[in-house]
Amino acid sequence: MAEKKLRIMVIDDESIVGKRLKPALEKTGDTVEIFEDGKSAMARFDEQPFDIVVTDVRMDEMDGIEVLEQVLARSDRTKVIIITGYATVEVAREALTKGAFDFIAKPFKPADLRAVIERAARQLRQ
Amino acid sequence: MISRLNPLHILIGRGAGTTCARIQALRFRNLLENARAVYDCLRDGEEKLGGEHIFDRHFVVSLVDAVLESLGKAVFDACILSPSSAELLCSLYDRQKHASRGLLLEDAAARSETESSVLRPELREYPEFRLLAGAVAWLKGSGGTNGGDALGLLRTAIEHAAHGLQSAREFRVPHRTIRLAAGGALNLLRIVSHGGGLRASPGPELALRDLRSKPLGLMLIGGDCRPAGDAESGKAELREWYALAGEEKLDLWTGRGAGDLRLHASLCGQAGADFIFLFAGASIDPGEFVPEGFRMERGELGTACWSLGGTGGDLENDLMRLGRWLFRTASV
Repeated sequence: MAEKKLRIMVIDDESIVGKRLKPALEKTGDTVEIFEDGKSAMARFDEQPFDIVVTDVRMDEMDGIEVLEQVLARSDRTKVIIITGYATVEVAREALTKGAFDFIAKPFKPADLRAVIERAARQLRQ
Repeated sequence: MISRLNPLHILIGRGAGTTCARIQALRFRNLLENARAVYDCLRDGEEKLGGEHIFDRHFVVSLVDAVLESLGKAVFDACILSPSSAELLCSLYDRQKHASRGLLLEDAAARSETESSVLRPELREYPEFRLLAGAVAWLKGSGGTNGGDALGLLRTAIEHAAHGLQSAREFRVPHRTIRLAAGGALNLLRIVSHGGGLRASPGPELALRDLRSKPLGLMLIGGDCRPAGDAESGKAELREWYALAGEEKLDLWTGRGAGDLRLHASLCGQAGADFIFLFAGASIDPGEFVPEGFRMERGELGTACWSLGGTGGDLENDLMRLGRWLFRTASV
C-alpha cells in the first residue's frame, strides 16, 4: 500500500533556503510549501495543518522558537525540525526542550534533512 | 645537486637558549595551526560552491570572519618571530580586512563574471552563491579583489616567520673548524660525513647519542649516517648542512644559498607543541620527498610544507624519511 504523502512547510527568511529545499524535498512526491516569515506561515497552517514544519531560528518578528510553540499549540502531532546557521548548544537545548523533533545546523545537505523527515514520518505513522 | 650526506655543521643548543627556542617553536606552531585553519576555510568554501549544501548569507559572512581571525593570528605570530617584518605584514593584513569588508558590502549582482563562472549555471541566480564565489576568489586571489589575496598574505607571513626563526640564531661558521660559543650555551661542532661515515673533526669520534638532539638523531638514522670511518672530503660534490640542534628541537638549513632549504622541527612530546616545517626554494620540488600527510603550499619564493602530526610517532617517522632523502638519496 502506498504511503501517505507528507505535507511539509519550510520557513526561512533567506529565500535561497526555501527555493533550493522545495525541489529537493518534492522529489519523493511530498507536498512542500515555502514561507519567508512566521506570520504568513501560521496563517496558512490555520487554513490547513502540515505534518512537518522545517523552520529557521533567527527571523524578524517571529523567530523559530515562537513558530515551534505556535505550531505545537495548534497541532501536537506535527513534527517541527529546526534549522539554523547560528548553531549553539543553548539554541539546540531550548528547541529540543520545547518539543522540536530535531535540530540541524546550516550548511547541510538536503539528504541530511530528508533523513530526519523520514524519521519523523515513521513516528507519524505509528 | 647532492649525492650523499656531506659536511654537516651542527650547533647544539643547551641551557639558557632552550627555553627561548621552545617558546619560538610554540609560536611557530601556532602560526601553522592558524594557517591550517585558513586553508580549511578555503576547502569548506570550495566544497559549498559545488551546490550540494543548503546555506545562507550568514555562512559566507562567518567564513570570511573566520579567515580574517585566523589570518590575523598568523600575522601576529609572524610579527613576533620576525619583528622587522611587522610593519609590512600588518599593512598587508589591513588591506585584506578592507578587501573582505568591500566584498561583503558589494552588490552581489555586480560581481564579475569570472567569479561566478566557477558556479553551475543554475546556481548563478542566487546572490549567496555569487557572494561565496567572491569570497573564495578573494581567498585564492583569482578574482581580482582589491588588496591582493588572503592566501598570498598567509604565505608571506609563513616565509617571514620561518626566516625570522632561523635568523634569530644565525651564525657564521668558519669553515672546517670546531667552535665553542662564548659562555658555553652553544656548542658548535663540525661533523664530516662521507660514504655513510660520520665523525667529529677534529677530536674524538662522535656518536649519535652525543648529539643530544632527538630530531637530528632521527634524521641521521634515517639517512643511515653512522659515526664510523674517516671522512674523505673533496671526492664527491659536497653540500653543506647547518643545524641548530637542541634536545627536542632542530633548525636545519643548507649552506648553499640562504633560501634553498630550511627545516624546523620540534619533538618535545607535549600535545600541541610538536611540528615539522620545511621550506624549499623555488628551484626545489619538495613533492618528491615530503612524506605523505604534509600540507604543501607553493608561493613565489618557494614551497612551504608542514605537518603538525597525529602522534609523536608520526613525526618521528617523517623525520627519518626526510633524513633519508635529504642526507642520502635526494638530489635536491
